Amino acid sequence: MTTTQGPCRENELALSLRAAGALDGDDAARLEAHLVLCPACRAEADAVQAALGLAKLPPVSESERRVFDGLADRTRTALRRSSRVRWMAKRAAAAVLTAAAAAAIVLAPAVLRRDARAPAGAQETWQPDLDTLWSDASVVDLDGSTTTDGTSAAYADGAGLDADDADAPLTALDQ
Amino acid sequence: MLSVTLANRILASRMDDAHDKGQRTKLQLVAGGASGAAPAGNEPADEALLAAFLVGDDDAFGELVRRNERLVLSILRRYTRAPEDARDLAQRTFLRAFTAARRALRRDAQGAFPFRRWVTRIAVNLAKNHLRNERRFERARLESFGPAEVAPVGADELLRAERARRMRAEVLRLPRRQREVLTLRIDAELPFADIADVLGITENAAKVTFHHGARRLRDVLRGEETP
Repeated sequence: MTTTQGPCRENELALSLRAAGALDGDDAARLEAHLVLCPACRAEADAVQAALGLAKLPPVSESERRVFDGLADRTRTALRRSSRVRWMAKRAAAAVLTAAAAAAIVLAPAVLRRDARAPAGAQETWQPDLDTLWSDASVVDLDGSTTTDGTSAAYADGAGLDADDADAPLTALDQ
Repeated sequence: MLSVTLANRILASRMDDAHDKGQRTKLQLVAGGASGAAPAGNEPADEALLAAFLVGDDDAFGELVRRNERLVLSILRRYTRAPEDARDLAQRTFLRAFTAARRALRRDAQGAFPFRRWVTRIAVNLAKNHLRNERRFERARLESFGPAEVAPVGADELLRAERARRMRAEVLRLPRRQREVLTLRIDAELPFADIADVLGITENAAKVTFHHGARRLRDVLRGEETP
């Protein structure tokens, strides 16, 4: 069970927990009984205890206590300050947004009017002749009875076609 | 404390609402820890104090800080070079915890906010960041962290103080998880179940991690003792 090299393998974890004061009940009783019999485990228990004892922080000194005193009040003050800053930031953001909205309402008509005036220059360069526009947009009358400017009637007579163009469909129709 | 009563009523009405809506009332455990700050007797729970604070009770706020400050400072002392730094970090810890609590409870008014667990976790993270920044930007030596021993008298005490200083530096050299578990146990004196809860690991994993850390410290001590 015991070795000359080190503690019993099965007790290593329990020895660390014992040093941390986290071993109780049956486990603690069993380990204590074992430690009486096993010098290697006893040495290990002492070594871990010593290491943790050195690693542990000393108790809070008087000078530290003086610094730590009033932590609650300081934190409360800081919290109030941060809440106030957050509230002021929200108010500032709301004010900026309101001002921006008001400016938009006031300036929008002027800007829109200027925009409406801007294409006027373009209109000067493009002045279509309404008659031409109307004739360009007219649809060829299918029965050829009504025309706006005689063009469709001419097409109906075949006059609007070149000789080659006119022959081809007529020949095809004849056949 | 009038507002605590008010907060308790709010909690009770929330539970009634949940019951009326046919929802199953949740049993929520608020970690108390074992380091003497858990509410005893008729003292209100952290959750009730938090609810009171959120409806504007400053006394509840102060009580919450007082109840948890010992735990937070015990975590932070090891990672700072001056008590003022520990105090400032503690203040930041509480501010962050309150901000998080406010946000969490606004999002889910019926949810639980285990204040103590949050405060511990935030303190551990802030301590880790502080240590990293001090090492990186201030080039601070690990031996300079932690509170100083009361002036040792005599050669033996001097030797012990020197060893303790080196051993504490070794604690900070441990891998992060080992260091967190070890310090939460030996500084904050938290039970392993709470340590596991804070770090999001199993209790068994916390114990094994502690064991590895303790064994490493023991090895360092043995190395120092054998010339």
